[in-house]
Amino acid sequence: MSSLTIGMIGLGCLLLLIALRVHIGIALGLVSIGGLAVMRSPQAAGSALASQPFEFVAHWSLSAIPMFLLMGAIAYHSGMTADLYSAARRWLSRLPGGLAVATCFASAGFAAASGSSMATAAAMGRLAIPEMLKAKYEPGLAAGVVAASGTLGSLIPPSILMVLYGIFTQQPIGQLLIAGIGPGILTAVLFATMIITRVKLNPELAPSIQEHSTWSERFRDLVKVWPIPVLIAAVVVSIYAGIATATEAAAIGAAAALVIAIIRKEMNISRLKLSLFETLESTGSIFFIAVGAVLFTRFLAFSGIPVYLADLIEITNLSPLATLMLISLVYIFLGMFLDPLGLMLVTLPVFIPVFEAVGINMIWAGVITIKFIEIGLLTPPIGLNAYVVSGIVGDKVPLMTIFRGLIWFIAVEIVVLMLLFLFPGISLYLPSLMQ
Amino acid sequence: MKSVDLALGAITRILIVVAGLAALAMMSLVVLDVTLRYMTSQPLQGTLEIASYYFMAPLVLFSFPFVERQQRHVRISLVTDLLSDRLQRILTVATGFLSCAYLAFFAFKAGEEAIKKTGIGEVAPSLTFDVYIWAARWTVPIGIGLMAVMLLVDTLRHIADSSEEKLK
Repeated sequence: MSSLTIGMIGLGCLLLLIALRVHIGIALGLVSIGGLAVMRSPQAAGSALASQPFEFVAHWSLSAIPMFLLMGAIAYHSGMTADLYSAARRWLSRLPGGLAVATCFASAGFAAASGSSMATAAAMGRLAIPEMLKAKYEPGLAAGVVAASGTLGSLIPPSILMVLYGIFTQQPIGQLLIAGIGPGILTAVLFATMIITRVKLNPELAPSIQEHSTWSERFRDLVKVWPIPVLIAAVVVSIYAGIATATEAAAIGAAAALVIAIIRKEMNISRLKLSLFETLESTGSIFFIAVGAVLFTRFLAFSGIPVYLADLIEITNLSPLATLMLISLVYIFLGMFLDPLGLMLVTLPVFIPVFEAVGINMIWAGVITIKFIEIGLLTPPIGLNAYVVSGIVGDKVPLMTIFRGLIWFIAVEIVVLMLLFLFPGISLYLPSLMQ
Repeated sequence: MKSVDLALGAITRILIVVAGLAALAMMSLVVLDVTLRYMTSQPLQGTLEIASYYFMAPLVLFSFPFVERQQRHVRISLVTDLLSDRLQRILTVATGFLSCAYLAFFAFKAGEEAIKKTGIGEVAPSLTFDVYIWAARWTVPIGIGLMAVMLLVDTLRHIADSSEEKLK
């Protein structure tokens, strides 16, 4: 049996094991070890397990992940989310669909402290959805805007997915993080535009709220969100100005969030413990899959599947844009069934040689890949952000209503994707200034 | 079974405390390193090695059993939900044993490696001094091994629960 055939069988077994509810990390590891034992030898498979996971985990660049997670957890548990939402609400609630628009921009703000889409959706959902439902907003819109705006967490730096993409593709993590700023802001603005237009056309979707804020109240609430610019300075500016590497910036960001929380008297031992537990829970679940993915990358490399696919694309003479379009179909299909991290780590070893073969800029490809994955977070049946929101609202908003509400946001996501395809500068302009 | 469960819970708690302290220590060390680099142009030597081997390794590997105990490792139950209860139970037990076997083999191989590296006193060369890293190797067999035991206990409990239901 050729290595290529073993590789194909391995891919099939992986999907089968995942479908049978095996931990994704274990499924990746089992297939890889089995495949390596058949292709090479049982000793080679054993030695991969003996050293590779440790060498991967004990990695300086990867320390950015727990630190970014800690920063987000501290920001949430010290009440920064609540202040952000309250300020956004004061400033934007008079717009058509104002609470939804406020949710969208507050999510963008929180994304500057949080590196995860699901964490952003969970944090904002607890505050914003009850408010919107109380104001008689259409439930699909109220839940949809939280699930969709949560995806900004993975675009606006910090971003856990960007760090992992950088590690697996060996691209500069600092530039990748900065590359997400333009697309993140564009997405937030287009989401808000869509909401305002829809509500203008059909005011019943979001009845205007009779809430009058004075300018002093608005500015008082705005002042309360000072931690967000400080965190942006700690992370984005320090990377951009070359003061710290992305890895160092993550630790600086976590420390800054902790110091801010202490200054605001919003931190105590039990909140710190909660933040740490949340960080460790997410770190463990991310790294367990990533360790499996490292083994899987080795297995795929030995099988020759990535090179085979790259050759196939080269023979067909596809343009970079056409290749990305083709890959987008794979992502959108698999995104319906796999979780975001699993999706990225299973597909990257296959697609990286393809990106390289057609000469796609890897930073640009990173932004597009994250966008694909984000769309997967919103599409049924496994749209995890929809499930996060569903977990918050319980029976008040059925899951189908959430998915229905998300259709408009997915349409906007497709428009954003097209813009990112056609104008690579949206992603690449800011990183180009760093070189 | 209950005493095993209590013991596993206690070990998991100890490990997660170590992982939490490692997270705080890593944050402090890196911030101190950057601060010193800018204020005195003298960074802390060995920060990279200590953060990677002594903080990252326990932080990540000791959190695996904790995540398993919280049942937060990612699994997709889309297809299995469509199966009958009986088939679901059989699948849970079969995949449980398969997963255990993988994790046990993983822990065994990592344990062998840890013994080997301990024997030679593995070091990571830093600019000014050698950082002994063999101790960090032990985080893999401990974290993965504990997870294997937890999965085994869970699978056995599943079998016991199923038999009890049948008797009822």
